[in-house]
Amino acid sequence: MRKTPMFVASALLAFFLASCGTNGASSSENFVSSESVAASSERVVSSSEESSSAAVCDSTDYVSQVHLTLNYVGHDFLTDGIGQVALKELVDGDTTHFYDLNSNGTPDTAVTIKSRYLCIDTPESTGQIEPWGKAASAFTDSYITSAKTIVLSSDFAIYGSAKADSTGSRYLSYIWVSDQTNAPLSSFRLLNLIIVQNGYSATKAAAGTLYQDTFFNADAEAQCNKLIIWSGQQDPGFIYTTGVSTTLQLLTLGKIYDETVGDYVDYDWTDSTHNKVAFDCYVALATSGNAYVYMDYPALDNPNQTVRYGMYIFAGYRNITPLNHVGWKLNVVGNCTTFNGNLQITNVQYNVLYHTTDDITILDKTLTTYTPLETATAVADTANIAYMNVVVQINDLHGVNDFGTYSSVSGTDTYMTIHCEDLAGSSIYLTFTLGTVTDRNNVTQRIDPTNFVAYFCTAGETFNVFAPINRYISTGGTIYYQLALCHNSDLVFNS
Amino acid sequence: MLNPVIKGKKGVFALGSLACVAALVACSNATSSGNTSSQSFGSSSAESSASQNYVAYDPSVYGDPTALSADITFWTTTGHQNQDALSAITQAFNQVYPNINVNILAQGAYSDIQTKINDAIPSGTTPTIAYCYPDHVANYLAAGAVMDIQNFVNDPIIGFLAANEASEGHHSENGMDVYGTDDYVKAYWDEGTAYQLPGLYSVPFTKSTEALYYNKTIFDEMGWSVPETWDDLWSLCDTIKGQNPDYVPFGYDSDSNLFISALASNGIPYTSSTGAHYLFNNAAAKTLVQNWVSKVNAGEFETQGTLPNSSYTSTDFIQQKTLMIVSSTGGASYADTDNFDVGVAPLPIYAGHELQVISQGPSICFFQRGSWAQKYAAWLFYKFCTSAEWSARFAVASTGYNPVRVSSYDTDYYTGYLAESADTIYGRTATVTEAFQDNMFYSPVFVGSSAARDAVGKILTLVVQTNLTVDEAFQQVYDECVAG
Repeated sequence: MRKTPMFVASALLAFFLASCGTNGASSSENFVSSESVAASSERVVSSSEESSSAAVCDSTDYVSQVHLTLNYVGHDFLTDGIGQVALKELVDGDTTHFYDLNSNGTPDTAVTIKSRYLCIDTPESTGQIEPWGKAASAFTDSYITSAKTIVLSSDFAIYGSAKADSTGSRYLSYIWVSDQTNAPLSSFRLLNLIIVQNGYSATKAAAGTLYQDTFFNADAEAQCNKLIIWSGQQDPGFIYTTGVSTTLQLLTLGKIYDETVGDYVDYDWTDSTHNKVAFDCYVALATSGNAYVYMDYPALDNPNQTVRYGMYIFAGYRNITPLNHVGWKLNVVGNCTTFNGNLQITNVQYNVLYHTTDDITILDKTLTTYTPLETATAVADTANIAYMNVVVQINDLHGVNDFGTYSSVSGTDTYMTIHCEDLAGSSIYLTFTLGTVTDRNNVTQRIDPTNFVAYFCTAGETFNVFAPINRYISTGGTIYYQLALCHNSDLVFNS
Repeated sequence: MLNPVIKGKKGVFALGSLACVAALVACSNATSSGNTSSQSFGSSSAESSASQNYVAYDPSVYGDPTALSADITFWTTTGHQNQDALSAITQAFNQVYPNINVNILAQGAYSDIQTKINDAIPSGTTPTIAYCYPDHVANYLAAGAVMDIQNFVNDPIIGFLAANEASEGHHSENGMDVYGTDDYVKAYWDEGTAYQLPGLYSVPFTKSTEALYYNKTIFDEMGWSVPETWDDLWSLCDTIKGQNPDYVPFGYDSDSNLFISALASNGIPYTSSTGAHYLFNNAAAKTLVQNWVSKVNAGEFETQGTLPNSSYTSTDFIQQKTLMIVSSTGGASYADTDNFDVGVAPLPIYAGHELQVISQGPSICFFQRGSWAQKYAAWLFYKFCTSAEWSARFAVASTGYNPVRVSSYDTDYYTGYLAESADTIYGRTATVTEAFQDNMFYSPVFVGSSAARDAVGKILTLVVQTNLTVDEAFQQVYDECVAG
């Protein structure tokens, strides 16, 4: 009722102004003169815009239009930008780790090539799990594992050294797969493009690349046909329900209480059909956006004994605020998985905008410190699963010898491992990120592969370490127990 | 139902707005929208499509805006984290507008979305709204594909009511947030008017700039002061290099920003939206580059363009090969590390000049394609996302980006965030950039401005990595720009 007079008044005033030739505010007008300026456009586009017109989707097989043209035989990916590789590890839908090949065609296990697929970005399926992420990962894996020959190539039309990405640790590459051994060039199909054409990824960073037009066309076709990520449908493989409530103790021990049996029974919490879990814990150690958490429980078989259980929360190096606060009590929701023999929780989230049942909940901010288990090396260096992912304090260690450095592939060593012993002669391994430390003289210095053995293995010197215990499984399957130092400052020399 | 009449001063202002709108109706050759009660305004001299004449929101057709029903498509370049944040805002939006379905589709990087939209325009598959850089919009505008958003701003029902009271922000009688354009950070908003045609063709969504990140642990240990001028900075580089030749003391991630910001700070011509567009090929600009070349050759300075693999200098920063860098605040996480304390400071100033920092980060443009219900819905979504509270929350969630509303900085949420995160790189970044609001600049936008930005970013690399002289490098990229 109230608005009627307003509009009447407006109309009258409008008529008056119009009669007077008032031109009105220029900013309210459409000044578009598309025909006059389109000619100078960098990219010629049409101005024909039809409201709500339905687009006709094409069904072109763009994959068949792209061919491997450079010969890969006798060439090496790292030095020539193209070469055959062997599968090392499936990671997710757009990342795979490969071995380079020796001259005799066997995998060179000393050289890992971390390949990030060019021109795509599939939904996440590791640190973060998104709808269609696991499906995209499985789709990629199916092509990789069934291929008889895999060739990587850089975004070059000619031979040239492969280039790492801006992080220096991964190679952006095209992945060509063939179902033939000794495969002719004509038999290869570009997996990156297959993924886009089938709707498992949007095209990403394709502008200016060798096959940009084909990628964009395949992307448009997939969107038009509403395939997979463009479907608007729920991913049937994604757990949309909230996490199953459990405890760190049961997760670690792989148990669940079976009411029909009246006892705890074995249970695989990492099974992807039901691995979304929720549990209470305290933050023990924050590290680069990820965290170690813990909780003390009475032992299942001895209520009088308290046992500490720990867990690694892999947040994918995102800034998940509650994980940064040591001592806070949280309810964590995530997916229970394994990585290199260690349990971990992935796909955690904390949304400051809009809290959901999938978010971490802050239960208590009272505590701001963590008191580690103080343990002897001999105790830690066992297969006692209860210690895995628990942050401990081990004192009076000394370095014995170098156990190896680990390259980030780009030629820069990133990690090192030292074989250590305590005063009783019990041994454990210590992994360490190469970088700057404050030494026993309180002087800042840089530790690199040329000096770290001398630095840690000086006779008569000992140090104390505050770090989680976890497992490292070698490519040969040997299990090593190690202190995984998260902050270089958590290693302190005894004066 | 919506009650647009606002008493007192607000009511008077609303009447004035309607008068303006109605006057334009009378002056235009508005075509029929098929809805006799709706008001149409805007002259579309070169447009043949009736859809390009703005049709004001008519409650008798669409009902209360909170009851508006529409499916809209929003193309973004968000990464996984910001995608979550956008989804969360959408959930909140749907509590107010339950019948508007926002389909958010991440389309890759900025270059991807630009290409996809350029391809979608002729095929008639553009989204309702999209993330954009102003450089991109110049092309869309040339194709007649984007709307003059000023029409939505002025809409008597769903526009910004009572712009004169924008600074205080208020709730209209139906509970919607109603703020005026004056509540947006001025440089962010004005950027949307810097096109080759008069009008408002993009609006700010979330913005970032650049800041100086430095290794506070080592700075404190060595007693070094954070440089406030570029002369101070180069002097400190000499000091660091003299004490430890292994360091490359200073890095600048974006070669393009280095060039453009330096020219803006020194008042040196870069580009113009009219006339001869490319003005950067001048002696003053060459002097700046010559100085950078000497610093690179001395091992005191690096940029992404001078590094092998075009890696970011932030990678060297966290590996402690470089002790201070200028990097995007939107990428603050890349400068974050557990291994040392990271300090954040404003960019140095050039002696005798005021601080000038580049405005970057995505804006939103609205496409002509689609029904009016979709367009209104998109506008309502934009307004919701950039309301004081949600702009603040999105900035926090996206870590390193700035709210686009002035009033966002005063919200309890944002002030609380700054207090809680004072010791984090994000909190420090936010504190530093909050003071930049009046020091932002943006470059003129025209067809070719995007190419100019890319081209000037190659100059330093061409000199350092090839045998070209500074003069030759300038001439080469200038010729590229002119050739188009």
